[in-house]
Amino acid sequence: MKYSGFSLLKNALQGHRNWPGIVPQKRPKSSYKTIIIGAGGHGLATAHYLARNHNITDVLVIDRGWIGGGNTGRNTTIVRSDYLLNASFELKNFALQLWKSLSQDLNFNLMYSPRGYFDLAHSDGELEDFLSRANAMRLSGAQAEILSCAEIAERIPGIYLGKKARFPISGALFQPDAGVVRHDAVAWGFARSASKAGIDIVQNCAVTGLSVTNSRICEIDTDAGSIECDKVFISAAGTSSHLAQMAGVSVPMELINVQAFVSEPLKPVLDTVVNYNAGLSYLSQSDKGELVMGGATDGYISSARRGSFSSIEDTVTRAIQLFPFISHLRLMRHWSGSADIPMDGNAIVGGTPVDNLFLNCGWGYAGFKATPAVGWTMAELLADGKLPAMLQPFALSRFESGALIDDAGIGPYPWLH
Amino acid sequence: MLLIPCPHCGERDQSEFHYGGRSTRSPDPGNTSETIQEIWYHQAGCESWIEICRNPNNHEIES
Repeated sequence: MKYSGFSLLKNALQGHRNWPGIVPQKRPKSSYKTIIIGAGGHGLATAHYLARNHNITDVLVIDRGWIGGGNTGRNTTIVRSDYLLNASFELKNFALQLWKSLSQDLNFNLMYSPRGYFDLAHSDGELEDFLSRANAMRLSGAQAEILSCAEIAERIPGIYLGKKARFPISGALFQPDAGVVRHDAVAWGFARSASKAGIDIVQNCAVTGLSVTNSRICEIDTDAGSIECDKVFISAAGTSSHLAQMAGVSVPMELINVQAFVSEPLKPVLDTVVNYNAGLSYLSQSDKGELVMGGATDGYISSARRGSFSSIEDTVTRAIQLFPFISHLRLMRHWSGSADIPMDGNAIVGGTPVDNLFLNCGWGYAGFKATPAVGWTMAELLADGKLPAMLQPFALSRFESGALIDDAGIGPYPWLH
Repeated sequence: MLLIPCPHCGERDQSEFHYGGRSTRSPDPGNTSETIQEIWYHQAGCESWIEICRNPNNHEIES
């Protein structure tokens, strides 16, 4: 069924009781050409682009949980591409271009809202650093502006720019076409499109083993029995390293908890996305009026998806520095996710020492924004067997060759997890 | 919130500590069922490095 004004009107007249399901419940077949492990945004986007761009539909997407139940449904929905280094910038900026027309492509309302993103600087030195990042972005064709405090005050009423703050604001890098996208809709939109094209999506079915012979995986073991396959693509965020280990591939990353929360609903007060950089606290307002807030990691290894109170307190304290009027608000909901972070803080995408095993993980808490670009490029790799130029810097082999991606500009400091 | 047993100061709030990471290398860091050996620095206390064994899946600390 195609969603349209007409279908909405028709179903409204029937009391919205007859909408068809989005993704049918399936049992896996005994063999597939390509198996994607992980039904999050990245895995489902890959399935969608395999069908859309390469006409490959003999594909299974399998997940131990439910669609988009991992980090896809646990982030703060921000999409942006304000990165300094070409490797990080290009992939995320390509994604930003795809987000713009993705609702139309998927015939699914992703509630894409390019409301702009303010990255705040707290010293003149930091602002100079942002200026070099803004210039790098502009040289690569993206929009970026450096704003003074007066310009910030004009665009964000309610923000505290006084000098009494613990870390006063000295300016901002503003990316006008960054914004937010409804995260659950992304998972469901890609799942619906892939499933309509004939790709099987199996939920609540764990992968328990990958059998390797002669450096190839010919079969995977699951809760629903063994399934033969030609190619396997692991896109399972934090569980990826454990899955890769089943095939004897070791992946240098750790799991660290990240928390996010929403306040009680307010009238519209914030029509953009703001990031406080002394520590970390990023805020936006949802369509329901809640302020959506996220912070840095809890800082220690954790797969509990349950974090420390001290990092909630830190994030909220920073948010109140920015917007003192929110100090009386209560938090309504709170959640966490396990961020998978390699030692240089950048993703691991591409092939592995096992010939037909491909990997996409290590996105930490920066993966949501890259979703369509990862899907697009991984589909190309799975279809043609050639690693797209955009993915080359993210190869697993960089940890052997030493070509780490140093976005923070702090040199060979392998401790970003 | 973790309560970390410091051999000198007793059980103390995690916010008094600085994290030092794993003290032993794990062949499978994604395996969340196994406990990990790690070191913490009691920055706002006795200033010593201590080693604990913690389950990253439920935060239980064995001493």
